[in-house]
This record gives sequence, C-alpha cells and structure tokens, in this order.
Amino acid sequence: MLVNQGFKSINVQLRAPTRTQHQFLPLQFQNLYRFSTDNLRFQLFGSVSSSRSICSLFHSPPTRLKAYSSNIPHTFHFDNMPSEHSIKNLDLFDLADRDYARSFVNGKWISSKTGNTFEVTNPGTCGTVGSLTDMSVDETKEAISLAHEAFLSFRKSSPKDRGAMLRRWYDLMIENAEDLAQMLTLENGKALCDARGEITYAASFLDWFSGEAVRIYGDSAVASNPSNRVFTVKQPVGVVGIITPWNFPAAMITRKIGAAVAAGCTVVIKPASETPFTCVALAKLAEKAGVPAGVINVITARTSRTHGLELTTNPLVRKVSFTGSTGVGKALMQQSSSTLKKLSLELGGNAPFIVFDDADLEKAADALVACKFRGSGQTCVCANRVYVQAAVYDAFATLLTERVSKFKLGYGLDAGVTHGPLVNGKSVAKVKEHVENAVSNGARVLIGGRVAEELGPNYFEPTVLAGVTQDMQIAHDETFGPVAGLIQFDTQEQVMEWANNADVGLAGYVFSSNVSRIFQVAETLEVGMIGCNTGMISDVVSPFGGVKESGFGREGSKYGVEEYMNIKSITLSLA
Amino acid sequence: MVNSSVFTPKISNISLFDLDRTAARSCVNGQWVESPNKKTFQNINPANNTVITEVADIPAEVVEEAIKAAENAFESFSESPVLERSLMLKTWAELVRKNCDDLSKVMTWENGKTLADSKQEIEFSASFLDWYAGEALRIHGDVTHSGVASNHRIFNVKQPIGVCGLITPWNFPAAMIARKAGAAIAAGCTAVIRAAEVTPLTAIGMIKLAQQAGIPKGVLNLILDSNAKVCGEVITNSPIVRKVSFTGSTNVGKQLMSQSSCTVKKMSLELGGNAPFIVFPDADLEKTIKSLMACKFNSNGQVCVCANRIYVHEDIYDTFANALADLVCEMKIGSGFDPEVKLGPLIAASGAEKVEEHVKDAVANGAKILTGGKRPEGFNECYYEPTVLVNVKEKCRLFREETFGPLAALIKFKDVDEVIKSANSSSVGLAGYVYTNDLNTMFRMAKGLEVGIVGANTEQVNDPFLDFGGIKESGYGKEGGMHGVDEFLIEKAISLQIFPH
Repeated sequence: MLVNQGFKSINVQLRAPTRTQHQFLPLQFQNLYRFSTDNLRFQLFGSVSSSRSICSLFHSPPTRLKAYSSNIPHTFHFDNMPSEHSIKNLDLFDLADRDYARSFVNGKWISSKTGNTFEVTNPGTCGTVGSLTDMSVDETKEAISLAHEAFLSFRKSSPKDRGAMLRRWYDLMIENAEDLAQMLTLENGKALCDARGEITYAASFLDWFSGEAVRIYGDSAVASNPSNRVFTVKQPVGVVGIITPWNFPAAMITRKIGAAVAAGCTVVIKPASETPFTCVALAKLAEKAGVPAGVINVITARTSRTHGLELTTNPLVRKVSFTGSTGVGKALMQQSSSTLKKLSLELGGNAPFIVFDDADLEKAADALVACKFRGSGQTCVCANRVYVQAAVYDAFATLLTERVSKFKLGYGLDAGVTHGPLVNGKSVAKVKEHVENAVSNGARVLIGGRVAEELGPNYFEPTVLAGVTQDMQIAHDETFGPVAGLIQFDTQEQVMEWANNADVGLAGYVFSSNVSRIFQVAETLEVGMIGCNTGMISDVVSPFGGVKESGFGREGSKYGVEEYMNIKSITLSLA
Repeated sequence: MVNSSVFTPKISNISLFDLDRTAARSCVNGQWVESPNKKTFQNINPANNTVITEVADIPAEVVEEAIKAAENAFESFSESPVLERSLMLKTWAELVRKNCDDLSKVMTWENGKTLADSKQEIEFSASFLDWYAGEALRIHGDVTHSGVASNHRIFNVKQPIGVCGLITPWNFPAAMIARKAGAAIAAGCTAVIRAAEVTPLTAIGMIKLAQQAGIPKGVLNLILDSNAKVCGEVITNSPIVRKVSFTGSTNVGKQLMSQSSCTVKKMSLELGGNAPFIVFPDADLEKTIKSLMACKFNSNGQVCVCANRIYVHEDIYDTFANALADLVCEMKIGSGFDPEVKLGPLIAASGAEKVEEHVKDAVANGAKILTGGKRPEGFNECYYEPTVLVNVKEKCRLFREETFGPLAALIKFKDVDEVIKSANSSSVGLAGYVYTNDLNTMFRMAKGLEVGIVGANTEQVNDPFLDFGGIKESGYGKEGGMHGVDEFLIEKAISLQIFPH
C-alpha cells in the first residue's frame, strides 16, 4: 500500500511508491483518504510550493494530480496513482536497510573508496529507484586482477560442478522471478508482463549453459602423417570483460555470463547505469548458487566510457563481450586491438520486416505487434522497416492499426498495461524526431504519433505511420521506439535491394506462403537471423548474432560457449 | 546359514514397488495391470532363496496391447515440446534421487548386489536422466547445399523413430532402464519396456516414478513376465515397433536381431563383453590394483564391461598377483545389506555354477588358485568366493566366455604385439583397459584393441558423458554421450528445390 491505512492523527509515515527504501516525509498530513488503490486524497499542513513538488513526493506525473488547493491546509486529490511495487526481498538488490547498493568484487560487496554514488531513475515516474556505489576505474582495474587470480583456479574446475552451479543459479532466478521482474520494470520501464517474460528468458540461458558446460566437445582427426594423432581441445579464454545494455537488463547478462561460466572463464561486468539493480540481484543469486568468489565481478558506475576503456585495454582481459550500439562497439573494438582481444559484438540492428501479398496478413500483423512493440520497440531485433507489398498495403495497415489501438500504454506496474515508457528523454527525443521527419516528408499517422504527456515525459504512444519511404530517417536509423513505419513495395527485387541497403544486419523477417520465396528471401537478406512467418526468433537453441556492422559472434545455442574458449590442437607423434 | 532377517530390508514406501499387493503388476497405457489369466511368478531373493513377492505373469496379448498404447501415445508425444520432455526427465531424475533409499534396498533385495553398489547405481541412473534432459534440447541436424543442383537445399532433420521395444537386463535393473528410456523420451519416442524377470520390482519403482514425473500415459509401458522369449518375439515381430534396444547376452542379441530382420527394425545391441585388462610393467601398481578391484568386483563381477582376462606383464606378474590376492581374500561375503560386505550373492545358482566351471576348467588347464576358488560355507548356492587365478592359459573357457562373476584370471604376457593379438582373439569387443605410463604403448594399445571403449589408466568407462557401446559381437549402437539420442531418431533428408524468382 502506498499509505498506511486507518489513521486519524497527523504525522503520517509515507512510503513513496517507487522508492526501494523507506522514506519518511517530513510533512504533516491532516486527512488522508484512499478511496481505492488508484485514488488518493489528502490534506496536509506545511508549505508546499507547487503542485509539482507534491507530485515529486509521490513520483507521480503532474497530470495525475486532479485537484490542488493553495489554501491552508492544502488539499490534494490524486488520480491513477502509480502502483507500488511489491518486492519482497530488498536485500536481493542490496537495498535492505541500506542507502545505496554496492558492487560485487571477489566475492565481497564493496563500496567505492571515492564514496560517490549515483541514482537510478524510474522512467515511468521520473522518481528515483535507488542509488548505487559509483566505482572508479582503479577499482575496475583491481577487479580485473582479482578475476584473473580467480581464473587460475576456476579454469581447472570440473564442468559438472560448473553446470551444477549454473543450474542452481537458474533455480534461484525462477524462485525470485517476481522480485526480479518488478525491479526490471522499475528501472527499465517495460510493462511487467514483458519483464516477467524477460526473466524467464534470461533464466533459460542459465539452464542452457548448465547443459553446455558438460558438452564441450573437442575432436580428433586422422592426421596426414600416419604416425601422428591430432586432438583438438577447448579451453577457457581467460578473464572476460562484459558490457551490457539497459534494454534487456537480465537476459543480456545471463546470455554472456552463463556462457563464460560454462566455459570456465571469470568475468568483470559493467551493467548499464540505467539498469544496474537487476545485475546486482543476479550477482546475489550467483553468490547464493555457489559460484566461487572472483568468478563474477560486478562494477556499478555512472559512466561507461572509462570503465570500457579499462576493460578493453587491460592485458589481463582476454575477451570482451558487448551488446549495445554500433558506435560504441566500434570504439571498443578499436581499443581492444591494442591487446588483440577476442570479441563478441552484438550491435545495432535495423531489421526489415517484409510482408508479401501472399502472406497470411492476420498472422503477419500479430507477428509485427510482437516483434515491433515488445519492450516498446527497444529491442535490437525489432522490426524497424516494415515493407508491405502494394496489393496488401492498406489491408495490412488497417489490421495493424486495429491491433495497436488495443494496447494499453501506461506505468509498467499498473494492471493491464501492455506497453511502458521509453527508458529516458533521449530515447523519446529520437522517436519524436523520426516521426516528425517522416510526417514532414509526407507520412501519415494512422495511430499514435505523440508523447503521452498525461502519463509522463517518457511515454510515447505506440504509433503506426503509413506512406513511409525509403529516404526518410526512420528507414536508415534504428528508431528504438514504438513506431511502425510502413513502406510500400512492388517487387521482390526492389524490396531486397532496399532491405539490404543498410550498414547493419542483425535480424530480418519475411512473411509469405510461398516456399521458394521464403528461401530466396531468407538466403538473400544480409542479416544474421531471419524469422520466416514469425516475429519471435529468440530461443536459447538458436544462435543469436549479426553480420556487417551489427557485429560478430554468436550467443546462446551450441555455438555460444565457443566464444569464450580457445581451440588448442594437440599433435601427438608416435613415430 | 545366516539369520534371514539380515536379508530382508525395510522399505518405507511399499506401494512404489507394488509390495502392498498380492502380485506386482505391469503397466500398460498408464494403468497398472494384472495378468488376464491370473498367472503369477515368484520374485526370489538370491541371498537366501526366499520369495520376495509374486509377480503377475503378463501374456503375449497384453504385450500387443502395450505396443498399441505406445503407438497411440506416440502421436502426441512425438509432437510435444522438447522443453516439456526435458523437464519430465529432470523431474524423473530428482524423484529417483529422492527415492534412492527404497530403490537401492529393493535392488539389493532382488539382485543381491551390495547396498553400496545399489546406491551407486541409483545415482548413476539419475545421472543418465539428467543427461538426456539436456540432450532433449540438443537434437541437431544439419543443412547443406546440393553439389549437383545449385538451386537445391538439403535439410537433414531428425525425428523420433516411433515405438521402441526396450529389453533390459538384471545386472543394472535401474540404470539400463534409465539409459534407454531416457534417450527414447528425449527423442520423443514411446516404449514398451520388458524388464528382466528376476528384477521386476526395481523396474516397477522406476516406472512409477516416471509417472509421478509427469511422463504421459502410454509413453512408458512396462511388461513383466516369466519368459523373456515370448515378449521378445512379440516386440521384434510387431510392425508397429520401429526400434529395439537390448542389453544382454550375445546369444539373445543374435536371436532378437534375426527376428527383427523381418520388419527391418533399427537396433541397438549392447551385448556380452570379455574385457581385456592389460597391465604393463611401468604402470603404477597400487593404483592399477585398486582400479582392477573396482572394475572386476563391482556388482560381484556381473558387469558387461568388467575385466574378464587380466593380462599382466611377466616382469611384475607375481608381485601383482600376490598383491591382488591379498586384497581379494579380505573381501567379505554375505548379505548385500551388511555394510561390511563387499560381495553379495550372484543373481542365481546358475551364475555361481558358471564361475565354478570356469575355475575348474582353468585349473584343469594348469591354472593355480591364489585365493578363493570354491563355494563359501554357510551360504546358499548363489554364492562364490572371490577368486584369483594365476597361470591362466589361452585355451581356457574364460578366454572365450564372459565369466560374469568374482573371478580374476591372470594371464602372463611379454610384449605389445603378443598381448594385442591375444586380447583381440575374442569374438566380442566391448571394453578394454590399458595401464601404462608410456605414451607410445598407450596409444598403440588404444588403437589396436578391437573394442568400443578403452579405459586408459582408468576403469571408469561408464558415465553419461561417454558414448557407450561395443563392436564385433558385442553389438552396435551407442548409449549416453552425444550420440545416445541419435539411436532413437531417424534422419530425414529434405532436398528442397527453390524455384528461381
């Protein structure tokens, strides 16, 4: 509950809705009524300068403040208060009776010697989720050395033990799924249903890699020289630097660390400063699962660049795995060149989604909803350019708009919400820019197209644009937001040319009922992953990764662990 | 005679083994059934010849029903998500571990092996189920281009083969069910399991736990009967059954293969072994003897990969023999439930008779008994003393036949060529063991031995991570490892022409 119920007196203890620690407001309330879980009305004594300042107490957008009186006592009436989280175990996020969460290095929870902390903002309310210690680069360097020490013994651990600890980690994630999902929504903004889906998906990587740990196969070859035997063995590469994004705060971590631990590597991870609490929780669970000290090290910090530089230039780090933007990926690659580190780069996408006139349009529209709007369009494999063949263009646009009109945009923890806010103002600005650019060049807004100010500054309405053309900004840049721009095409040649006219190549989607066409398109698209008549391509068994400037390396699947291993060939002469 | 109470365990969950009933039942389509003709047979404790329970004797027509049930179940089970099948296997493994106490006691009761051996087998069984839970998610085919027609793509996909007949032996009454049924389930197959008639209760326990784990009805059917031949014939003759997996003797394997030829079934045959155990003079003697003890006397020597012909280099022959005999003569015989006991009874009187014959035959051919060599006093006809023989010659019966008992027969050899030739003179080839620190000798031996599995300075050749299986008359097909599930899959090549746009 937002407010303790059943009081009549003044001096009310208020627990702010999106804080993860108790906050006591130094205000005196006279009457406080909660009419329902959504509505709140109260009066208070004391000076409150504006409606905005009282809103900030509740981390509520001003639009939710229905009535505000400047008389004394003030009277406030809030409508649609954001739901409060119901996280049971705050220690999971290192916030139980603490002001800020710590980093995890060599099996210990530590605070930066600098004493600095940074705050994480809830994109849904613009309130604070909580604070974390802000580690210095020297401390990252120290963590790398400790990870290296841990590697010297961890590389000799038995695959069976590593598999078992990953499996326990998986079990613990499932046990704590609801707390993890709620925190994910608090710091990322995505709707709770999406957050729950991500936790399950993230956990599935730990289960997968627990199986992979005991299935690291080298091989033997018949040598050219009959008196020789050739064996190949696979060995862990060493300390791994891991840099993860905010759009999948859990899954991108398990997908990388799961593989690294299965291989016998140790890691230093720098999670996105927008979503570090999920990472803190995963480290807590790993610790509980019996992952030895020094194997998983988490550095929380406000900035990424300097820590990224250390991870990519420190000679003890033998491998860097990064998921994020192409721009940053290029910088990390350049930095890594000085010590020739092995790299996995999962960078930006600009996925074409192609609907031919012989496709099942209903299914294609359903798939586009799943593919384009999941996480409010903030996924690297989400459709960015939707190509629809001329004959079915209008029909498809109608089907899609119908579906989008049923979305419920809102605060991620609120019941019934299907789509949450974007992660921050920068993201909103980009989406806005793409829509404005398209509209000013002749595109039509079929639905959405604006920031839903009444919900807060980060809420962008799920949008469908018609009349989008290949020369608009949206067709070249990844929008990373809830905008489906429909581009009309006539022929297969034309759409193939357009689709491949991109520097990047992560995912692509094709919808057709013609078997030859499916394979022609699937083989021609310059991408690493293709969904044929499906918008959901993420599966632990399927290798995930891109081509061109979307990077290289594969995650998950039977290839995932190889990224963290060296192949050593042993030639044995028996002459 | 030892007091009979030490031969009878206390089982906490008797219904898990149908011990709360007058006769233990079989399982058809998820139902536990008695025989329509009310016939039963006895389940006997080999340690003291007492009757453990009556078991419903299932006739051929019920086996047919079970095959049909498996066929019906296959329709949906073959389409079930791999994640579900994986979870079922994981849950089954957990339940097996949770019920380890009861399962091991029942196993010792009906098989005779020591409780420690039984417990080890239960963990071994669970580890297979775990393994296959992972393998279920890793059924990979491949994709290639046609080298002839450039517009063709070839997809090699794997699909469950169909209804399987799994015929399992008494020496590993739980593990052989787990190793076969686990693979079948991972693949998406359904099965009729014919468990050994002397160890029906362990099989019942395993199948009841499979049901508890959520494995749907009809997927695993269990047949218990007194005559293996009848059930084997129904299974191998049935056109519905597409695969037979059998672990047992080479003779029965040949018979099943012959019967299966009329419907050309895919087969996995894990048959008899006659493992050479070869010790070179540079080997670490203490470690090697320890290894031999584990290899030879586990489950009283009734293991298909256990050392049958022990070749010891002449330079160390006497030292090795005496050191071995010193350890063997101290092994305590008795009830498998006695924690001090290392060797329980053999599975039946015939088992002990065979050991006795092999010893007599070897002695008649010049071998000398260092320890054992007789029936122990105060025990029934299923017991035989752990025995070490020296100066064993190639013309002995044990050279051609698996002893399947607690007899360590030591043969002297001089060099690599001689020992390879002798070791390969057998018609079977399952496991072989080599002990040496010399690199060249090790690899020459490993390459030269005509066996499917080599233990190089180790007797541990049987775990889920390893592709288990033999060559020559030890059969074919692999169990466990990265190829175990393939045995229950068909490979289908789809050659797709992509019409030019």
